[in-house]
Amino acid sequence: MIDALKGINGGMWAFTAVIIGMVFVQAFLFFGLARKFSVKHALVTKEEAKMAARTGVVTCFGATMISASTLALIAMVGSAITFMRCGVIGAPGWELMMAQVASSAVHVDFGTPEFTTEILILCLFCMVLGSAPYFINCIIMLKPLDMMVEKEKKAEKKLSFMPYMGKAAMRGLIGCLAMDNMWGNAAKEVGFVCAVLGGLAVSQMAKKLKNSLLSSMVMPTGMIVAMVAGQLFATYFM
Amino acid sequence: MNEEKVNVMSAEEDYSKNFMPKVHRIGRVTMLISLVLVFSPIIYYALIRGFTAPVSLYISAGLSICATGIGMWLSEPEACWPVLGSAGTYIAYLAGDVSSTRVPVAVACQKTADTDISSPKGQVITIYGLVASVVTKIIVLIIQVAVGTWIISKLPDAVTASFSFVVIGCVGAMLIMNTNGKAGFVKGLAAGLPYLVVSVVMWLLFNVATDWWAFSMIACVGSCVVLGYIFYRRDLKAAEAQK
Repeated sequence: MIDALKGINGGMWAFTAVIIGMVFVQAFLFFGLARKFSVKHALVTKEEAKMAARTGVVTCFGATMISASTLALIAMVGSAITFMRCGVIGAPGWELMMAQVASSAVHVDFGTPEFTTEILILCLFCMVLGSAPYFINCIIMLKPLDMMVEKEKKAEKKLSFMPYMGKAAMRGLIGCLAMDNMWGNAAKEVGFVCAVLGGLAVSQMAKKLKNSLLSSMVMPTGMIVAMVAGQLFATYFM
Repeated sequence: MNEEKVNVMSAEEDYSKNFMPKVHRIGRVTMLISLVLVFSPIIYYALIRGFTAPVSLYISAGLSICATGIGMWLSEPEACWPVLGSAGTYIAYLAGDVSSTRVPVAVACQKTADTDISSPKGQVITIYGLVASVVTKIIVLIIQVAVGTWIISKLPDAVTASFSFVVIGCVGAMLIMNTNGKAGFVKGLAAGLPYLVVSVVMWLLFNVATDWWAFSMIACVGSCVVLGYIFYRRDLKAAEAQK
């Protein structure tokens, strides 16, 4: 355990449990609401629900299993704070950056005797401040956005703008995420191209065989192909 | 009487009148409680237990963080909302890892079920997928916190390093799921290409030509939504001309 956590580690775990508990509470409240609504209107079949859950598990598992940023955070601020911050809103990379902003503001390095409990709490403050405003944004903005959609629906036009907006936003996000993740990194560019080709092969096969299980494997295939191709390229050509 | 009314409501009507208000009630209340909870350890340790660094340090570090984060705080949830929906955005911004995990999950769920977030079914499917991803992430985090360092030390370096390609693999798969629809890959790609080009150009503008990277996501998504509106107006005109 890092020295700065001595004496407060137990309490920090208690706070962590409560905060992570809130994430579960929210998730299950939404799940209950969606399930009740789906049953009432027979919207989603059991098979589709299972498929959605499986997609959620596989995609999340691949994306979060090995995170160097999480391990670096554990070494810097301890397990309890890492769990608290990465389990609620934070992404490990962002939290790491916020912790570093705090340590550079006080000119104290992690793991040194100068890194006291006071500095650790300041680090936690910076990590929380780095993402808490997202809560406020969601509280204020999401309802008006939905009201805008409702207004648009009631306009009774021949065509609705909503499907156009959904597709446009999704494609915009894909372009942005692709560039964010591969710009200036040849191995990641190779990984991306191979993931596209691998995903396309599986998707075409699923269409041909009319196999819904296979069509849910496009995402895992993309991840695995990118890992293998990207790493091979990085090992032999970089 | 009221119950009878509810029973005869269509899914769309029930969705607007009952489901969405409940989504916002749950979302807003849980976000508000969480906002208080995330600050509670700082309040307890700094103000009650007395582990307080000088206030000037809090102000200086806080200002640095505000300068870094303000662009994203103001724009990111709105950029992800058209894909995640309101319930999905509440879940994603409480559980975290929005762009690397929640967005790919939402896209994969909607494409697998051949629906989108503007429909009640799309909302339900997305919520199912995201809730599964929330539970998975917490389990993975418990494993990482408990034995992460030990596991990493046992894996070959090449395997550990290959995990840095997972997110780009997800994005590649998202591209295929978005373009290889019923019309076929070539037609899907042709329909998606203008948006992708606009998004890439905006990204370059905000990250390479200028240093406004904090606004790049909303710029990419916003410009694509504007392009979508142009296409919508064109199709609406054509549909009305047919009438």
